[in-house]
Amino acid sequence: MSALETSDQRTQRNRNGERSGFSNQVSRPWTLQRAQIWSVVVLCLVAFVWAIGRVGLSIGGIAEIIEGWPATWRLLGRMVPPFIPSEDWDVVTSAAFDTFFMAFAGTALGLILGIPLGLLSARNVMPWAPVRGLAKLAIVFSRAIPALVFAIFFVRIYGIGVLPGVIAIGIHSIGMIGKLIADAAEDIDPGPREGVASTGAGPMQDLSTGVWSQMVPTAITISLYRLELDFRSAPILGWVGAGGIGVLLRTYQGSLRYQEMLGVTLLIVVLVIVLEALSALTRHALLGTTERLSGKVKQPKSNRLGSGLASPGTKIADWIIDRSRQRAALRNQLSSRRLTPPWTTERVKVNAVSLIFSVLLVLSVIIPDIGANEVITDSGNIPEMLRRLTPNDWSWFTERIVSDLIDTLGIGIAATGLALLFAIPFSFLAASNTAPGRFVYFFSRSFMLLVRCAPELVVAVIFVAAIGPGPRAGSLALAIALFGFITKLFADAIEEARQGIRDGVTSTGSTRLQESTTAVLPQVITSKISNSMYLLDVSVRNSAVVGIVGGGGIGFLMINASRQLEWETLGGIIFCIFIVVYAIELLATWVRRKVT
Amino acid sequence: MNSNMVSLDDGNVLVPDSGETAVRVKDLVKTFDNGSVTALDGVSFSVPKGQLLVIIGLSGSGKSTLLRHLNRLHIPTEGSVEVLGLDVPALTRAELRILRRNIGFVFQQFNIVGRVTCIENVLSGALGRIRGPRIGAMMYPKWLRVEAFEQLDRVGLADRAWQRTDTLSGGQQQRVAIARSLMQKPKIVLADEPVASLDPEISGQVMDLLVQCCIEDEITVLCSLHQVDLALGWAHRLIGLRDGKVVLDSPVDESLDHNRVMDVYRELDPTGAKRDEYIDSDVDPIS
Repeated sequence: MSALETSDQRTQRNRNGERSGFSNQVSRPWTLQRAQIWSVVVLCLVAFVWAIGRVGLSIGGIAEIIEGWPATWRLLGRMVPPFIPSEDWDVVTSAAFDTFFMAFAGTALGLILGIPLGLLSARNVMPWAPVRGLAKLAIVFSRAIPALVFAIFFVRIYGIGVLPGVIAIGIHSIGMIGKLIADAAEDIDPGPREGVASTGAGPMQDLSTGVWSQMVPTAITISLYRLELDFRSAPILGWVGAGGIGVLLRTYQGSLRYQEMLGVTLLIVVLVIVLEALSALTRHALLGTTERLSGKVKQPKSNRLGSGLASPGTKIADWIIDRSRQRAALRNQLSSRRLTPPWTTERVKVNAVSLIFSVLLVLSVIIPDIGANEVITDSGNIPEMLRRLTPNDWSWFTERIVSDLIDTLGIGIAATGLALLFAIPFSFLAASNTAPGRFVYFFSRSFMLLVRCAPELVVAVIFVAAIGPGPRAGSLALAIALFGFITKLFADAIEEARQGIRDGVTSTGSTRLQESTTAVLPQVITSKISNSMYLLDVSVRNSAVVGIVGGGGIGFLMINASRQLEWETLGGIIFCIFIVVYAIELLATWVRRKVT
Repeated sequence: MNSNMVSLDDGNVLVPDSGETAVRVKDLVKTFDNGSVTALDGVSFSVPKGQLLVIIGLSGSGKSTLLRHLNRLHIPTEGSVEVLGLDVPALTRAELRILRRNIGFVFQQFNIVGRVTCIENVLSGALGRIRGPRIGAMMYPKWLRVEAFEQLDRVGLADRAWQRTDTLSGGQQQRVAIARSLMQKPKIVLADEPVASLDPEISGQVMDLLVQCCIEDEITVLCSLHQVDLALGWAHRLIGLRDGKVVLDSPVDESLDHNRVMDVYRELDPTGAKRDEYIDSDVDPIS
């Protein structure tokens, strides 16, 4: 190699593949972590291809859909124009209100139970390991079982109505609330706690002043987020008899009144959009006023004394006399000084929101006729019911259950894969800093909001009607719902990417696409993988219930067992769902830890 | 039970009584990581009531560790720690709370809750005097709120009472932390590099404020500090730590000049009694 070689010559030589000193170093060395990541990637791809085949969406399956298109089109034609007959308006309105209050009361119940459980499972709050373990177990269980399954159970206990819906939502919400509260508690700054501890505070005082006061904003965010999720899951609970607008959806579907069915679906979507907007407003009112007020800070009065070696004694004595005079004056003043917080805009907002939420909570107990009597009279049946649900032997465990469980897994994986396939490119269009124009950005965001607000099971109802029951309808419906959900997470992550790194890449003369792949993607890839794993988790949980509305998988057997009062089978299936969902969650958590 | 816990204060609060000595530390050894790191290596000293003591030394010399033993944020590996006449490592949980409410602690990082109001942070200093958890300033009784206002006024921040604490500048936040400590009505204030994260001008102001308040309330002060000039300005006595050992213990008078103090930060032994171990040993001080 000549030292006088020009850079062009060097390039030419390397392109020709001639040997240089670096030839054997230019491939990235294989490390254990790299091998692990690649095996996970390959495994995911294999699983996706398998799942697509399993749910009937391979090329042959898609051909079938195209072949059956005229029939589908006719069915779709019967759904438009969507309308709700005027004589049903009363029922629809009251059902919509029931749904709203059901979700609201359910979330409240979830918060009441979930926050203490979350704190009990936080390492830095509960030092006693057995208690932590029990709390964690309750949280994991409540997260892994979908709300719809809890609803089936509680409908059997309390009968058809709003009450089982409230309890089902509440119990299922505990899981997510508990987990996020525990994470938030473990994340707090230990400094202020030390400060509180060294004033001689007791354990409960430490919890309220040292821990909780730091967690309030996170707790508000968690609560509102859970409320949004519950608004989305509540409308379908009526399908299994838990009250609200789902009952109507079921009735219309059962009597093949497709126009009314689509009408109710659109009503649900509009409701969810409105509620989501209200939730965003609330969050802004409570947390949006946190900007720092620095710059308005006055210079402190100069009290500088005693610097240097001279004894400060006389100065201090003067100062003490001076201060005691001032303090006497203050004591007179204090009687008129306000000892209650001033009514700032912030305080007015916080109080207004608290008032509204308290009123809504009271209303949510009164309006839907929850039936407080039933809570007292029927709760006694719970132990008996749990006993019946516990299988004595394996007679319930059939081949059908195994194959349906595999279907469920297939639906979950296929839906996740399809959602990701479309979400990854689309998220770049829906992020303000990478979208090619403001119009594209606005259009993408609106489209996403619309998709996101359609609850997956409600979409599944439409798909089952359009292309017939089976895993195909279930996975397509789930994929659409998940697409809306994950695109938003991705787009938000892209918007947080640092501009400086992008400028660095742009200034090398890259194209827009190159800049996105080189500067933006590496910044967001870990959050994307982590979110995708979370998506798989959610997806498998939901795929277990799409069968209830005819979308394939284990859900169908479950609702059948419930209708035919085959308790042991129902209990067995719920246990199987728990195992599968929990296994996927563990896997997802493992992968997330590997990449971050 | 500690026999020294005798007298009753105005608010039915037990106050330890220790005669004339506020703090007595003997042969204190503290190791971390199962003995592989020695933070304190046989420290002994005692502090009479009302003394203003400054502890100086390099980062990592054990200043914070020493202070944190006095209210049992750390537990000694060996040796005894006696504060206000109480055997600190042997205290029960209830006794420890009584001790802690009599010791104010001012932290380098303030350790106040940023997102609540100043008054609530100051009020939290009174938690040891009342029972039960509190959320929000309005859950404290009115007489405590009046008291908190007085303490905030002493540090010159009464007009900021209802402002969020994290909207204040660093120096102001530390003054809120000082007000919280004063709110405890402490017998002793421990200050762990209270001005290390502030600029020199504000440092002087905050330090003077802390000292003045403590002199007014007849509080014993143990303060770790980097600024030697600041320390010489008002301390009664200086202790120098290096590698967990006391290498200087002297009253602040004519015999203690700036250079002798600065030697704590150098490799030489300021007492001149023995040569530095780094120089004597074979260990290369750089590696």
